[in-house]
Amino acid sequence: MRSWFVPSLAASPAAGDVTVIVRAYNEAAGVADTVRSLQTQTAPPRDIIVVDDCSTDGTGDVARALGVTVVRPAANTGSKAGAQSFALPRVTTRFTMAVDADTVLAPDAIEQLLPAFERPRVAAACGFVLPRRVRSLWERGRYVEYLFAFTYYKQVQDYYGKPLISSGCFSMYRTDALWAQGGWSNATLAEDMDLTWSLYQAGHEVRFIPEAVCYPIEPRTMTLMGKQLRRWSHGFIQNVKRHWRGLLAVPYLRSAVAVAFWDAILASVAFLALLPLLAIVLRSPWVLLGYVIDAPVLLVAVLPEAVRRREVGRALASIPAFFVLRLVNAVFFLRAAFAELLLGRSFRTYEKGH
Amino acid sequence: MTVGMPGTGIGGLFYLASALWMPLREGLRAVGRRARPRPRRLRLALRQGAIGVGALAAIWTAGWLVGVLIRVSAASGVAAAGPRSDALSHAVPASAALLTIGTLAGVLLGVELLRLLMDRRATRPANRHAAVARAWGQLSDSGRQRAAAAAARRWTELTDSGRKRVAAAAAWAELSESGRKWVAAAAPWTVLTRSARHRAGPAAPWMAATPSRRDGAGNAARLTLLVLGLTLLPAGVARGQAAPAIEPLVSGSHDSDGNRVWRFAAAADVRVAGATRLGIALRHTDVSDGFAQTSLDELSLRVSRRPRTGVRVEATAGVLRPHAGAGTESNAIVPTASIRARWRPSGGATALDVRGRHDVLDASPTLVVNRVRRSEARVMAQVPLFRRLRLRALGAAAELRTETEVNHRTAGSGIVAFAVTPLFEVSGQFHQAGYAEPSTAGYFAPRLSQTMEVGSYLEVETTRLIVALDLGVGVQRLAEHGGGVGSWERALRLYSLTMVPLAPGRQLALEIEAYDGLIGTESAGGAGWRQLSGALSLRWALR
Repeated sequence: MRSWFVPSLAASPAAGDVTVIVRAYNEAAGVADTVRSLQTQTAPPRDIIVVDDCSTDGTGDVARALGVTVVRPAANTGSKAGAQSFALPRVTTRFTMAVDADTVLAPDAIEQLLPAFERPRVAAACGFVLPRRVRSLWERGRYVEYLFAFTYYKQVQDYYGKPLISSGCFSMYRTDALWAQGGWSNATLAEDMDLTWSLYQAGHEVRFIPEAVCYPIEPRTMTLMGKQLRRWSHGFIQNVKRHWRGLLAVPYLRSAVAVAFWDAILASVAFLALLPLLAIVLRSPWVLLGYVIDAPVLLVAVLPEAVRRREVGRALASIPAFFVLRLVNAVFFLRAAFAELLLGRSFRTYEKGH
Repeated sequence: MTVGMPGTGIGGLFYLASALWMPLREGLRAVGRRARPRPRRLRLALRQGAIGVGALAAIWTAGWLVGVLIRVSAASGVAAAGPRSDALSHAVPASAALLTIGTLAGVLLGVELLRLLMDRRATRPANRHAAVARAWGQLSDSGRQRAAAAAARRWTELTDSGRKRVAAAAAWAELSESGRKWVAAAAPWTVLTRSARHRAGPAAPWMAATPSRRDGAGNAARLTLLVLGLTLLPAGVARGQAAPAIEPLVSGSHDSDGNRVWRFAAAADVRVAGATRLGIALRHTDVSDGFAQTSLDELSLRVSRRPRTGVRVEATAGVLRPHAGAGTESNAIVPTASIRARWRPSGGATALDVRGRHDVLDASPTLVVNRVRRSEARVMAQVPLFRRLRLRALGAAAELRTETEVNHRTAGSGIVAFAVTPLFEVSGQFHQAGYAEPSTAGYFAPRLSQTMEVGSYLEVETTRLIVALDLGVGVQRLAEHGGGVGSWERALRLYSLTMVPLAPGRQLALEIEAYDGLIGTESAGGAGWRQLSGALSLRWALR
């Protein structure tokens, strides 16, 4: 049905062949920054579609005033996946980009991302993510978490050809591969992970391009962070439940997912139960050092990138926040594992995390 | 969302190993000139490798700091002082590392087992045919051309290699009876060759041996070997493997404590049903140390079975009678038993080896007179980390019992091995063992022994000879009960096996083993121990 407007996979990618979908729900305060950062790209996209998901704060008007296409479903789609898939039939370019309405891109982000698609098998590519604001405890924790993950883990995953996830806040896809998957799925709360793993199972490649940088706004309060962590934790477990059979056929990814799953379970139990219990039983406060025993390893990965970005002071000042955030992560992950795996209660409510 | 512990958790270890492997992989790729240079990937590999090295140093620093803190806290009275705190300062980081490595190995092994289980279901003959047709159908034209070219090269390579033919014979011999029937009946390549021939020409045999892309290279290699096994295998090999056989053996050992052991054994086994063999073995052992002499006689029944490809189970049960001298209790008969189950899919790097045994230590007259009975359970698991990198973990627990004392030994090992070629492996190894109590029964029972070594394993195969060489060079240290941990001392270890195939089912084997270190095996009589042993056996199939 779609072949009439989708050129051959083998053709080389070009900036004018990109449509950006921005899902926005009550983002009047931030959507303008996002749209402007897209319009001022060194390789600007052909179309920018803002999906005003029935906002009540005039988000659509703000976007429309900037000259982009604004579409509005009849009712709130209930999820980012639903909103993005709503806009997909309007895409007529070979590449589709998904950007969160609270995310701005570095001026050359699209230009940096496009060459990844020179390989015909690459169906998705994502970039480096860094918080736009680093002020509160939670933003600082997330800043160190991203510096560590995108400098170390994600680049290792990319070397082995299996980035664990093509981040939902900033990713580009081959449009026909996206169509072949039926767009973004509502089956889990982590639609980006769902899509990434589905693409691998379909034989596609996914790339991580660290030079393509984006800056989302991260949750600044515990309440907002809690909503996001709840969604991510449940989303990860839902994806493991949904895809585990298919993932077994994907080398490296199967190991990475299994290790991530068990690491999260075991580390959470260690942080929340084992360490305090040992400290009490052994009557040794030294045991509590276990909470920060990996600080040297963290620094090894974080500091070089911080030096490169001339943000050493910010990184060092934010390190303690990482350990707090990790502890909170552990609580949410265990709760999610308990609900999804033991009680069989799947959490399906999409709540904004900022 | 980061929940795990970078560097010290299983996720941290997984990515640490992944990062450290990257520059090595690029180096091997460059040396092998397998493809054009990839500067971007090389830079990435070097950068991540450097982070990995830094992380390794940071982990070591953290472990060292934990040790220092334990000692400081003990000295300041926060925790129990004395040798216990010293032991704790060493044991806590080492135990944590072993626990993490073991857990990671367990997770990776679990994934591989699950994959094989699901794979097995998905690749039953009917499904396999459909899967191949589907996989071929999904390939693009250029993909089919590449597959055809690769298949042609692979087929030429396999059929031109004498060693592969030997491997094919071995693969066929490894098959259970039902496995052989399955291969003969299902013969997926014959079915698939027909469909593939029209499209791929020279790719047909390769396509036949590659059920689907998802089966991976391991299955493709295994099935290719089976194809060769069917087409090129001399029929005599299969007959030789199935025939009754006798196996005489003579072995001797000498250690630095002056103990000499001579063993004379004879065994016979016969195939009783399918892939099950039943056997009987007699063994006489003379043990002397220059002052005293004693002997043991053992009779045992053996059964071995290969229920499916890659799985082998062996069990023995018998009785042993030590001759320690007239009228002594040591002459009483002792029951012995052992069981071993091995699982290793052909062509795969995943392996599991589980052993249990109950026997008598016989390395010295003292041990025999004291009737030191050992009951031991041992588990070894190996999982592939990446294409050539393997993670091996070994754990063992044993009870050593005499009439007057009971002691317990626990041991664990973590090994990271890299297969340079399919027949050459280098490894980094860490072994730790310890006894719960000191002993006066004739074996050396330190509280703790630790060994770090670099190992290498090499196999050389010709049509007339197979040589395997396992060499370990490293350092070792001990802590006796009530004492602190000693300094690191040199440790050497050597094992070699030379097999001379005489005819199908008939072969001569010579094994040589040597130790030079603080402690070599659990039979060692004391610290600072050297041993040399050799065994010569002949397996003769009565065809």
